[in-house]
Amino acid sequence: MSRELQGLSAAPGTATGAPWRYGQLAGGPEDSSEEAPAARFQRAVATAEAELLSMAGELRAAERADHAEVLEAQALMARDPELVAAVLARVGSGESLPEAIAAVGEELAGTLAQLDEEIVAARATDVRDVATRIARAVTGARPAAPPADGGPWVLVADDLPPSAVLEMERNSIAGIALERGSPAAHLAILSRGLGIPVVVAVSGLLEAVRGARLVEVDASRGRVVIDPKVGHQSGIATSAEQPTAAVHAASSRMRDGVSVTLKANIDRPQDAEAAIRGGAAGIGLFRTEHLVVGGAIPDAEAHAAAYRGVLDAAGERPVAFRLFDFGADKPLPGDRGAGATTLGLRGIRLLLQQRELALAQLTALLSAAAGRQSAVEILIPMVADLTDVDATRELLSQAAADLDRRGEARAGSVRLGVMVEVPSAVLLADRLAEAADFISIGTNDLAAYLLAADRARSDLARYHDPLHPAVLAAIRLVKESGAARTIPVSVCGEMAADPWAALVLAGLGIRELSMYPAAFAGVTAMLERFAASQAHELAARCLGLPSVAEVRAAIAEFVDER
Amino acid sequence: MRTVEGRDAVVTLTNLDRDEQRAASASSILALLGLGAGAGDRLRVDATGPDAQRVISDVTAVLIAAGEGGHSR
Repeated sequence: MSRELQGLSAAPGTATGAPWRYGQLAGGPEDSSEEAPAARFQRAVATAEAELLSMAGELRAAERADHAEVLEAQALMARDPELVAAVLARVGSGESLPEAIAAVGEELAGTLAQLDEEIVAARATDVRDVATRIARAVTGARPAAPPADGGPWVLVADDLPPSAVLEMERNSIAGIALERGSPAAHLAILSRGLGIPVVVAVSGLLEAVRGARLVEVDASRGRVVIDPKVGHQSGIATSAEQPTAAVHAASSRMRDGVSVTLKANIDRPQDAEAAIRGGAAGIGLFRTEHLVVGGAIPDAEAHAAAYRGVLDAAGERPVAFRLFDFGADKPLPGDRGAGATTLGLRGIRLLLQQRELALAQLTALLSAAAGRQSAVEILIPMVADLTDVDATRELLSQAAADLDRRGEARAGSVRLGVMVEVPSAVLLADRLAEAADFISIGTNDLAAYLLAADRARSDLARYHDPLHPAVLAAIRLVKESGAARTIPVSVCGEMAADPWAALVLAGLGIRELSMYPAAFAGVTAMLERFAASQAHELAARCLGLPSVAEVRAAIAEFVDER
Repeated sequence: MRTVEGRDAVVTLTNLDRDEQRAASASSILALLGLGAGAGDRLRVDATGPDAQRVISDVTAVLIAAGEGGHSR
């Protein structure tokens, strides 16, 4: 009998596979060695450290420094003097080594988990992972790997560190379902990049999968189906996978001929080439603040070089450079007391106070855009009102004048876009549409601000979900304002990467979506099944519903019955 | 942590905006994380030992450059 459990979507897609309970230990004798515990412990620490550093090294080689940093921090945790001292103290008072390691790991993780600093609290999973690794090295046990001939598997666990996924054969994992976990956790980010669908915060999951034959991870609905009905399931396959079929992209043609352009969101210049190869019609969002690594802002020349690299990779295709969006989760390097909260000094507000920084970036952009200005778009983050746009235009003129004075080449003009994330920008969209050349809606922040709900809190998921009827209504309003001024309105939030949400967006009249490239295949497959007129009917129905749950149910019914 | 490695000094950090009683060893990533320091928090750096003076100025410089600790994300 099939059974559904509700959770939260953390990485989009749908997958069905046999459940594999991660964390079952295989082999390894119990703690029976005659060697002194302290010596065995030190060896185990070294083993755990080496494992983590070796994975980090592979990630660095694959230019995934962001993920590598997480594992390198874990390697430091393995050797941490506090951890070592606490374990040895417990062993000294008679506990067995594996017990002591588990207890200390839990204690340290618990301390971190209680902190309200979200980034730090999320590290609790990493600490538990480190303790587990050390304990495993002591007993010689390994996490049992699923049989090679069985898969594909749906990994099921209480919580899962990114390292667990990295250690497994990528092709054997169809999806991931977690009893706890958070959409903000590093695992979610990693899985999005790998195209593995993930549903987290599924209460009762571990109990429910016992004895189950099949598990469906349905991230579109944010739910897990235990033993889905045969026939309902679309074979044992993942829809998020199949990026081999990424021949499409550039645009998805809906059944009535309406096409929806798909662009890529990138964090690093070197990601541009892969995105274009993956079929992106351009770069819809380049988060330039990621150029800042190690706490130093590169000089204007280095910036211009990075921008030129992205433009080269994009060829003639447009690239939307979002101005530095520091504040909130990425503080401005060297900035003290900026109050980096979501309601604080961030985005364009911060840039208007740091005029030198803003000018340096705009100068670099204008210089990189010389000779190819048709491809260059500048996107202003966190616009609240017209003053933000006017002030940015003024800075842009000043940057142009600076380059002229120095006799350097620059673009004559570039397209200036407004990022709509702040609710005031939704209400002022008609006037912003007059002042801007295009609008891009950042649905993650918009949902959080519109419903006053912190995205990091899974217990507020029903509020900050971008499929909330209020968010859909806001998107419709912005789209209408853009249409009245005949300027394009695109969506670049994570929402665009969710095939269901993409369908609703198409129904709201959005004709350009920007997402991480792994999502192209799933979104295209969904859009191509329907006509834009059908999507429009669906969107109209969703706008009239009272809650996210009912919106998702309506989409489910719509998608299934046709 | 890299800044204090190999120095002849015992260095601790305190997050004045959270818990003034809780001092974290600068050689422990877990203790440092436990400070729960976010951007904008005021941190105090204490050091004792022959290298103390230099270590304090180095650690302070690193903290400021990293925008308070640098463990963003």
